Amino acid sequence: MWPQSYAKRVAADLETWISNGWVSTDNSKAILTSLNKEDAPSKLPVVITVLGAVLIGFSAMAFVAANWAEMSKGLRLGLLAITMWSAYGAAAFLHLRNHAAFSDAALLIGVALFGANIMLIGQMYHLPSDFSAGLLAWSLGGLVTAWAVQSRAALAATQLLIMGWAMSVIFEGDLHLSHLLLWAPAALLAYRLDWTPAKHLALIGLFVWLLGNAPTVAENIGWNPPELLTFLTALFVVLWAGGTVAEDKGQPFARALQGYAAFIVIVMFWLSHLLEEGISPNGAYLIPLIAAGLTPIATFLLARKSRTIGLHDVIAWSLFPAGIFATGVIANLGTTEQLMIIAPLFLGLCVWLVTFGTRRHNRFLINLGFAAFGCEALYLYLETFGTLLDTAAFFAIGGILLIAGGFVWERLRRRATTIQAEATS
Amino acid sequence: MSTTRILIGIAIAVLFQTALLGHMVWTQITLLSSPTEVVLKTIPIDPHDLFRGDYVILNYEISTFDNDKINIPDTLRQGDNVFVVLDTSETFATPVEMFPEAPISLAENQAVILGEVSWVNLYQQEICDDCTKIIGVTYQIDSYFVPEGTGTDLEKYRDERALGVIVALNDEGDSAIKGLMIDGEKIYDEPLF
Repeated sequence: MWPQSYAKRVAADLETWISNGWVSTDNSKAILTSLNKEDAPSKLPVVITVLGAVLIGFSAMAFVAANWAEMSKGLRLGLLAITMWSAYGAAAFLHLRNHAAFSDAALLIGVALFGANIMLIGQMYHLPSDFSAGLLAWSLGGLVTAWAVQSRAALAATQLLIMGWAMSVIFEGDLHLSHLLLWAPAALLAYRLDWTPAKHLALIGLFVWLLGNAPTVAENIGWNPPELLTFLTALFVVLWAGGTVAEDKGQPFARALQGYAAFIVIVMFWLSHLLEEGISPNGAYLIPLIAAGLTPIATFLLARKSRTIGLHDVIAWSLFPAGIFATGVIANLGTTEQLMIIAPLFLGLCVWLVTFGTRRHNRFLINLGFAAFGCEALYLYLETFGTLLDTAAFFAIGGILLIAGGFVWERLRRRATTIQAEATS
Repeated sequence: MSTTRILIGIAIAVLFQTALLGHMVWTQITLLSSPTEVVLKTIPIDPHDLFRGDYVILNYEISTFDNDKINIPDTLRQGDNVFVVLDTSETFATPVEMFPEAPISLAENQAVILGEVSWVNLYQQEICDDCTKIIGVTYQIDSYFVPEGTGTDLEKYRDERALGVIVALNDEGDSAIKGLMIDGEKIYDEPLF
């Protein structure tokens, strides 16, 4: 039932609308009746019941935890198994009762309990603290559940677990090629279920794995950071261009690919500000140099497949890896010279990104361009003016600049997104 | 998906996960049932950081080796497997030899434990050929969950260097903690079930 104040206000408005001829008297009565009618049966008893079940659940957990040490291992194993089986039993029961969403939630609980069981059995038998092996086993269990039941919730949880497994192996300093063995079936299921969040997680998982392994690969083949950044930027620029063409061809997920690739390119390009090491002198720079050289060719060939991509876009894309490589070449000359090259280039490419996003009606790219421009302006301010002024003046001027800059920027951003919205409508 | 397929899918998920957990338990029980048993002496590295609640990080005398006391194969690198042959004739087992591959045969009163090289002091090796080479080795028995409230008691014994860990070993050198020993007396004996 709606609040009385709202019903009174609608009743008053209805008189005006009837007199203006917008609403008929019959319709007015129907609206007022619906406002005063009781809603569907109250959900309060259900909520209270669920809360009660949660409390009983916590009570059971606390009881088990308090007596855990006193229980025999056999009893503990039995409890763990029964708890996990109960979750899956509940999933089956709820599915039979046509509660698909609750059934999916129960499956998710089952996958979570499987992970908890791995940890608790490891604790009971003093298994070696192999975090990544535990995550691998958990991911495998989740993946089998997701595929066997075609469960969205289990799939999303599994994708996160696979990502966690990748990160734990990568943090140990190992090259992690086996990631693809689990990532690929999960990604395949995401496309089979045609579920957008899982598709996003698949892309994020792939990029996390790719970027996570990159430093180890670079170290093995003798690349310094500039070579690594150049190569990765060239790769993601081509992915970005490919995503743009795919969007023009009507591929449904191409816009997301563009967004992720553009974001990574911008971050990579910005990281070149921090380069302290230059290009390695041992000739290992050849592959990144070739990758930077091939970027204009690859993007040009892709641009030919689309009428919306111009030559200036190809030039802008090509400048990302080329700029990083150039920065690496001059890195040994000193920070100021490096900044003099990279900063104007970065700002110019941010402006291009805003225009590119506007032309393509892509709000994410527009906002990314503005955000990157703003961050760069702030970085330049901190790097240059900050050293010349005393602390008080530094913060005062900084504050004024930030407020003024933010105001102007927001106006520009709104204007650009309005143009984009108008063009879309 | 049809209801039947969903139910079959749930059954597959339950069976797979239960089998995986069962395999974990079975592997460990098989190892703990092995007749080969050694006692390893633990040494404290930093008594203030050793206990995390009721979880003990165990560091053994056989966790660090230098080539003054034992011959360290030159081929060993960080991350490699290493097989340490132990003399079990005394209460506490002591290292005799180490190999990058499993030894073909063992003498009487000897057992082998599998470890992984966690670090190698290569720096010293680079500056001179005859300096002491030191390596660190980790085993499958690096942690022990003690009963609630007993961590501090164990720490006291560890300071007195009298704490031994009873370890079960199989023929491949895999290891599992069977119990704890203080001054030759078992204080914890891990039941299989």
